Amino acid sequence: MIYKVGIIGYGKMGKLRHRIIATYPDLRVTAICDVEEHAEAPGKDICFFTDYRQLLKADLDIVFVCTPNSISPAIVVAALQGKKHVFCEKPPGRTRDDVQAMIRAEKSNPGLKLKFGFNHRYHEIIKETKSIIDSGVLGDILWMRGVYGKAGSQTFEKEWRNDPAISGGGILLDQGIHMVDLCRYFAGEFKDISAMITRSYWNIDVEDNAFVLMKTDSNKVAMLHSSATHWKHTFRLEIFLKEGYLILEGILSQTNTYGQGKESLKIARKRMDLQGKAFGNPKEEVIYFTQDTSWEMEIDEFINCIKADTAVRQGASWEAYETMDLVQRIYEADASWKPVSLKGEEI
Amino acid sequence: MKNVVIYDDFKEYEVRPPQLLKEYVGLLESEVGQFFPAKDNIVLKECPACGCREENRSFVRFKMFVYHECRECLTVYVSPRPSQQNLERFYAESRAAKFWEENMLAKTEEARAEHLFAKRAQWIEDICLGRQNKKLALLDVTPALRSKREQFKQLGVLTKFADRDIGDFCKGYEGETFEAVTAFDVIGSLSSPLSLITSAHKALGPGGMLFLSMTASTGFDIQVLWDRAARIFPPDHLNLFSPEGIEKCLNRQGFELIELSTPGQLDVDIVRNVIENEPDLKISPFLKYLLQKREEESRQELQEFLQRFKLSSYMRVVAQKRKDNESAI
Repeated sequence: MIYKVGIIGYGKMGKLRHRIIATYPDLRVTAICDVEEHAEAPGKDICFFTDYRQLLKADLDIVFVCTPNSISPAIVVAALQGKKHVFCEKPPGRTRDDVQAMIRAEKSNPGLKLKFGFNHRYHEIIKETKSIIDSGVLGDILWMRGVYGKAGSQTFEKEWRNDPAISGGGILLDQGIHMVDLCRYFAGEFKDISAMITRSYWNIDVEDNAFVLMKTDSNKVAMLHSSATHWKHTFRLEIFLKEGYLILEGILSQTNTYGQGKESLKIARKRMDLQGKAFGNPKEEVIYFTQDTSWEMEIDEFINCIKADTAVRQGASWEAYETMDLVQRIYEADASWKPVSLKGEEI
Repeated sequence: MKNVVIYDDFKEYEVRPPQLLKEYVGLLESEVGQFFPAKDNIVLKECPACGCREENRSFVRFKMFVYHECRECLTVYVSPRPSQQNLERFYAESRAAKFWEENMLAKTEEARAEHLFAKRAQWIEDICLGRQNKKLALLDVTPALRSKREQFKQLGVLTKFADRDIGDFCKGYEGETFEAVTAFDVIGSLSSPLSLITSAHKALGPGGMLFLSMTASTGFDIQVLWDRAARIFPPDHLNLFSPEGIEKCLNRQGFELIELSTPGQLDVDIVRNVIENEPDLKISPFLKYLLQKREEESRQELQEFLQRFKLSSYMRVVAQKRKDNESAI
């Protein structure tokens, strides 16, 4: 069977998804929508729309939603009501209410699949880390310390991502959400949260830094720093467990600036001498990953779920809700941080 | 695909004491003519890794074995080479093989246990058990590892061991499929390295893992010392694959690479030892300066660099049998 695919939002992510979808013989992109009438010609035999409602009237099996946060939820809901399977980029809207609305639409269309693009979970370094943690060889997690930071740019202040009405939040919601999701993925659900949300440098109405301290019911603590003033692009997550540690550094990205072409996972076991004195520098092993197949694997899983009619594993709506809920609780944890006012499309 | 870097601190003399190595090589040299008569040796017309028929350069060992470097993939191979039958006889009957077992292995047992065997066991555990594959059916075809099989058993995996006839190690296991096959430092000494890979393919179920370790032709000490690389000698080293060569070879036989690393610890140490023992050795003055005059830290970092960029001469590979259960040829 050939699945007919529509892509809504034909910016950077829409084009990237298109490139990957084009490598699947049983997927065919037949419709694209973007508000820019002069968007790059997407290819022949593809209908082009500037209104997603028109696109959703087309004969499609799957819709990829690659739009800004404020309009994604309404599109997802409309696509599900229009009996399409839906893949939606992260973040899943701007608030937990957005996600709940999408989940309601999903529940009222039980045969359809809804998946969110928490793409980092498909990176080799993340899969390897998860596999080591789950194997139990290093014991339970004690604590984690994560930094995900970027440097912004000259046009940063004008980006839609920093328009609170559209984005719903700043760097934490845009990029830090990946780290939040990974903390949950590795350690489970966090209950206690302290946070400092700041606007330190950029002239924007959303945060450019978030400093977070969180604890699970079983006392696993995560420290997290999400930053848009991190002048060196950084992805680093340290996970200390009872028997050793894992240090993840670098994530292969489109810009190739978060690790210079590699992801590295440092693995070490704690060592004590016969007198019980700690070796300050235990022997380490480093695994380097240089290929990013995450985009393909993410779509693989989505398509396989559709074909086999199985539940979405990564990026499922309940996961999206938990992650979004945690992001929102982080914002709420800083009493001095003024929430942004939202406006957007009615769902 | 993975590339693993391991920080360790052992030295060449711990696993290959120079005096014992010298004696061993002396015995080899005196016996190769007897065990490998020229009339029995097999001429390879092409690189065993990639099939290329052209070579870059060559050198001769024991006045009878020529090492050729493949122009295409830089794999180094001996041709003409001993037949597998003669190799089996050599390892069963020669004084050199006996010396290796009784002296080299026995006297370096502790260091080998710590630096080689324990790491191999850990490697398998990391790859297989990390994936919750708790009942791993593993077939090991590493002759020298027999005395260390206890460490594998400690992994709690089902382990079987093939006999010396590694050319067709499936014999005796017909009808059985394994989840992993391990062959440590074996493929380099086979008359037909392909036979190991095809046998492993046969023995493994779909998705099964093949673990190999070997000497890499593109490693630092091999490339720098080349015909003076004292640890390369026949018949123990008939095939020195390059990373590119082994990848091509495995792909052609229906495997997909999961890991290709060169986590060697000894390259820099080996070259430095040769420089110190052979003052007249023709070698880059810069390398001499770096390895003799600079701090220990610089040598450690150089070794780490070699690992990081797959330039050490100790190579390890994990390849997964393709799930479609077919080889590419």
